[in-house]
Amino acid sequence: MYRNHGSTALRRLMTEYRELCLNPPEGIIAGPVSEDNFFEWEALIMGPPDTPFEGGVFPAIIKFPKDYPLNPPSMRFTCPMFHPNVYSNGEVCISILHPPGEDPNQYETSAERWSPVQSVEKILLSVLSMIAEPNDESGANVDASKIWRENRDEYNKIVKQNIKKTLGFTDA
Amino acid sequence: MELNQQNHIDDPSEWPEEFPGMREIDTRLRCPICYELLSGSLMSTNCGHVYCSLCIRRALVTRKLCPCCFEPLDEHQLVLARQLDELVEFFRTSRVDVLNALRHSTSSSFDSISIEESSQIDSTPQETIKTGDKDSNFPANLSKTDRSSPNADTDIYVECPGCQKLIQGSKINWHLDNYCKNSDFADGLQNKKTKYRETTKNKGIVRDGGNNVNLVSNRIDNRRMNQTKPSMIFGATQRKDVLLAKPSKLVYSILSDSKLKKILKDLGLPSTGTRNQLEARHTEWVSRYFANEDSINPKSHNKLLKELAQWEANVQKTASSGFANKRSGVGKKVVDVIGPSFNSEDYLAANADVFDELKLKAQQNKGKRKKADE
Repeated sequence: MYRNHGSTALRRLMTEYRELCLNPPEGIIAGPVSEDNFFEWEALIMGPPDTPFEGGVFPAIIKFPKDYPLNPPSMRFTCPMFHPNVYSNGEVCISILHPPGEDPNQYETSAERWSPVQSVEKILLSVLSMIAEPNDESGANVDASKIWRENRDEYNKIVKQNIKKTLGFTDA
Repeated sequence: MELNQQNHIDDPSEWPEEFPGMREIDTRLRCPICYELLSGSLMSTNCGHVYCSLCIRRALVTRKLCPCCFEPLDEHQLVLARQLDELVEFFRTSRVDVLNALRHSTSSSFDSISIEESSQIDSTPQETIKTGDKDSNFPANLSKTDRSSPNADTDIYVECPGCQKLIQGSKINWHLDNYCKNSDFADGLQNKKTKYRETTKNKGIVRDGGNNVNLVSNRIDNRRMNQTKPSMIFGATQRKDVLLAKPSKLVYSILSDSKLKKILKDLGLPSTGTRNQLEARHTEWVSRYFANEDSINPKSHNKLLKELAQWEANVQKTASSGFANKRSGVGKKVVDVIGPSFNSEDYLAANADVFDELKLKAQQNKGKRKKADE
């Protein structure tokens, strides 16, 4: 009835994986990189329609701590991602990945924070909506925030270029 | 067993799509933290959210907020939801049977193997004691639904929690409602009784093992004998068990190492390891101890100690592999002030020579100072 710590996390990740396989949300594929290690997942996110990211596919790595779900996983895009809420190394900065009280930018309300009842699916859906609607108040990538705010055309151009690069159609 | 438990995960999606209501019920009887059927349910008196005892206790160690609504929450605001526990226990036992029955009715190529498999991998112990189903392909569990027409060969015999007599499952309620009155069908059961003993022996159920025996009757037990502590009911907890003292929460920062070690020793826990390990061990023990007290079917303290050791081994593996070391739960929480892009290990590796140089300098300085002192 009481699982030890490691297997609590493992069982929960397995359940979540199963759920995501059975009822995948639109535009998202996610699962462990290898079934030997359930603590590292790979996710593919389709660029949401009617945004500059439309048509792109964005791979990301999600790493889970062994005391998941008490603490949140971290998520990092493994492709170039020019976005106000994504650090230049690909790390995603979004409120659901921060537990309350541990906000590097002190901007986020506690409503959408990490808690053990959140899930991979909710994270990925939040990331999807973050891609569609950047939050320039807590910018992780200052350059991207600035260009997004001041020169939307330029921003869209860079995003499109990145998509081409990721998909292997480099024209540069 | 452990492996099976790990491999088999039950979730609401096992219910066929034609029964959305069952899926909803299944979902609502699960803990939102571990996604498993509630065990030792605790409800917040503040906001009404319900979790497993161990899950919420662990979560509150990390943050004193309700995980569902972020309302401030402290352990003393949690109350046991006993009726919910009983409900979950009944649901857990019928779940496998009903799912199997549903599968049986939908697939014609049903065989008894699938029943056996699913009851093996499910983490709950076998609850029903079956008699006379050995050569029949039909699952004996299904006959439970057939209470209205008890059949001497397929009806289940259960042990009455009150008088320990074997009573037909279909008549146990009548028997209990009449204060264990000796009914005519309770007599002349000696034949059945020995037969049942044999079957249980064959099935490897150690009757004195307490936890394995008829959960359903234990439930009734709990309800009937409210005054009796659950630990009194279960042979295993009574028998040859070390009873460990109740731990209390500590403010670690005001305790010296030796004092903390003494406290652990007094509690019957190992008192070796680093300071962080000691604190983590104590915290986890407190959570596990009280979660066990909340459980409808408490374990022996021996078993709890074993599980704690297992947990610690697991966590140490994690810590030494360096994976997610900042959040591994052992040791103090390290707040990442520099930002998520900072990786302390990479940084240490990249600047190893600088650190070595500094260490060397420090050692030289120490040597010089010593000489000066002399």
